[in-house]
Amino acid sequence: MKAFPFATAKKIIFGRGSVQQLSDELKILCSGKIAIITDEIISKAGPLDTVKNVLHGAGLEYDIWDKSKSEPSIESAEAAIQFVRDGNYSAIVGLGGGSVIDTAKAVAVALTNPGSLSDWVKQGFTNPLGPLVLMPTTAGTGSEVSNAGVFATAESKYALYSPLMYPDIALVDPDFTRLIPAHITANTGIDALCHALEAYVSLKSTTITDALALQAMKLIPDNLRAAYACGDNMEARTNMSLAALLAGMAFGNAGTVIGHACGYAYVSPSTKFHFPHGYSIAITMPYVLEYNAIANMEKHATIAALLGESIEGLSLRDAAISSAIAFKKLLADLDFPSSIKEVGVTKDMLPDIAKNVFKSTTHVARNPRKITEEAMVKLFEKAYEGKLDCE
Amino acid sequence: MDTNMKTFSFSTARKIIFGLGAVKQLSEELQNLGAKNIAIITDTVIGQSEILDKVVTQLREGGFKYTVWDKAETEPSVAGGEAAIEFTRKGNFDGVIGVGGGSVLDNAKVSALSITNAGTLSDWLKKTFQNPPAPLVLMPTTAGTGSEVSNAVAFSTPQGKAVLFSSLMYPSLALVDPEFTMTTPATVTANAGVDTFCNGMEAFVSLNATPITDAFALQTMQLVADNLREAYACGDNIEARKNMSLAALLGGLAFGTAGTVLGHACAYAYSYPATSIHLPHGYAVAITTPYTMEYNAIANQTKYATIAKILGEPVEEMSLRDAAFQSALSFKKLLYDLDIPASIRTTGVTKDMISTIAQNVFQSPAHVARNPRKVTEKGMVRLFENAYEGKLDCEQ
Ligand SMILES: [Fe+2]
Ligand SMILES: [Fe+2]
Repeated sequence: MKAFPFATAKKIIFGRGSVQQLSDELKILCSGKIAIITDEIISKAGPLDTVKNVLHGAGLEYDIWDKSKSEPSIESAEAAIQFVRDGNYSAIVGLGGGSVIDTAKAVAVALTNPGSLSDWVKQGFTNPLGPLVLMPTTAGTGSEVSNAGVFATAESKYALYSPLMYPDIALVDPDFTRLIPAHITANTGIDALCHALEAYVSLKSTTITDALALQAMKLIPDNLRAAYACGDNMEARTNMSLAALLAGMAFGNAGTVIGHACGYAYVSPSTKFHFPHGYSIAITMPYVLEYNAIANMEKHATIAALLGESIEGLSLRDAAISSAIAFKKLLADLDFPSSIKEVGVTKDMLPDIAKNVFKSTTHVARNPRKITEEAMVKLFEKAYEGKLDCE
Repeated sequence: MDTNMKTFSFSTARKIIFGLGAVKQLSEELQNLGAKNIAIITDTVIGQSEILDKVVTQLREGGFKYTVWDKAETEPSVAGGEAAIEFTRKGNFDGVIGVGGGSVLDNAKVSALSITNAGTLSDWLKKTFQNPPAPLVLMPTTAGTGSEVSNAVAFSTPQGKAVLFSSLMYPSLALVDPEFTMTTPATVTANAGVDTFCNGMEAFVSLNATPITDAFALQTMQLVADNLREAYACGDNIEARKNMSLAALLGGLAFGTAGTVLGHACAYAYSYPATSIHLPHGYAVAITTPYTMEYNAIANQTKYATIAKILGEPVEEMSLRDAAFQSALSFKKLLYDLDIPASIRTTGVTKDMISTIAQNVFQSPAHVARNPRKVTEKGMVRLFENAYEGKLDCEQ
């Protein structure tokens, strides 16, 4: 075991109704006007009204910027930065999904640093962020506890990350997720599960990240099914918010592996497909589990057990492989397609898609099993047919 | 998990680095923190050891200015804390490193506060402080206290223990190098190791426990259960030592937020400064813990059954109630294996002291308030009578 680091948001606040604590926390962090970064959907929905009421009630001044885009481009984040620089703001509140949260991080960098987002992506930045509170409205990305933001250009995706970029406060109020439509509940929830299980098998996993990943994996299988089946089930929603947070703390330090790399490999900007983040990763995940299982049979067997397979009486090898089957059952229950064929991928694309996996170099480096192009072609052939070897 | 999960919050050191040889990252981290003139807070034992050499070498090679203050006491008093502050303010430092056990780290915390805040330690104990500390790196040399990731300090006063805590007091970096614990003598390994287990266990059953602290507490207890006996039996067992070090860190992550409960309150109640009996912290906690476990078991049978299972008991075939009580018996076995007595009589407590000791428990009101079972004076008298005889009710 090499020396390993661990870091997360400076403070995490979790719970139904915890939004009520926002004003007290902001009063400790700053004394001036607040910029709320969000998107148009949120700004027409309940969460923004709640936040406004809390700030209003405490006599805090604020302005709202609601033009965040769903896969934030560098340009759209620069627009948010311009908005904040034109005003005189002393703190940033990000309220929304992963894209909004990422934009809010870039904006908090701008409070204390000169330059533009494209500069920072290239050369980093030097000063700690301005006061920043991140409030997720979906249960999935875990971006509220990570030190990274992802921004797209026409050609590619760029990650801005820095040990300075952890927020002051990650404030997770599960009530914000109440009205999320079922298919988004499924996409974001399965993303959280992939964060937990990829962090768990990552070569950068540590005892600390394992503790968090295991708790997340215990919570997700039952609660995601229940939250998808009935969005009013606030117990399930609360547990999903919690699981996404725990998984975020885990993969924020251990990273994700080729589960995410395979998802990226067959969607934009590499190909013409645009799928939601969690959705694209979920579809190929059973094949990733089957591929990786022999690299760490112990951990894959644990995954299988946590996903609800009964592994008693199975050999360690069979238990490990059954993690793939268990994941497939979950996909079926959440009405995900069972092959990439069904989402429009054609056979002639497979060699290119297989090559794309290697573009995610850090994911590949952290993966427990070495990968080859040949192996990736085979993996995507299975994902194309929707059939595991062990079936 | 239950629907009515309360709102909770979680914080820790801004950054944690753990691993053999982690000390080699010190100068790079100090650079990132922007500190140039550094106060090293330690005690005379560490001050004369190889450990300090390693730290100082890092600073020298990194081109930092530094001064060593090695006067931290084993049981830190307010006066001792003030002395650390006086040293710090004279030196014009812009960063602090604490290298040592829990007491040293507590001194380092107030030293870092004195760079950015006016006033004295006694002022802060009365009405806290305003500004976050200067860059602060904490490097524990015993695996146990978890002080490197907590936001609290404790100093003894003539009246008892005075505790200062604040969400501003988390260090910039907790740097845990298990190599620093390699030379710890066996008895200290045992005391600190049991303390680690109790930190994890008490955080687990605390009314302030959250799913995050539970995740850390479970790992803490498992690591201690699997490694403490081996680390005590043979200090050269690097793997066991390393795992104990890791357990201590995880325990700190758990009780730093969830707090400890009756187990720690009972230890404070019968040892110095509440009585005149001086005992190492972990040792004092260890002796009464079987009895606090037995007292608490019915308040959260599921969690105590889990504790019994982690301690290696075959609880599958037992009723939940019996499994919960089994945890206390199992902990007693651990004490036996570590040559720690299970009776307070061995420490010099006499029978006539018990009623006073039982009352002393209530001088730790925060611990009592977090305890899963309501604490009554009658219950405490009974508990200490059992601890005096060294016999659990469920053994009779
Ligand atoms: Fe993801
Ligand atoms: Fe302790």
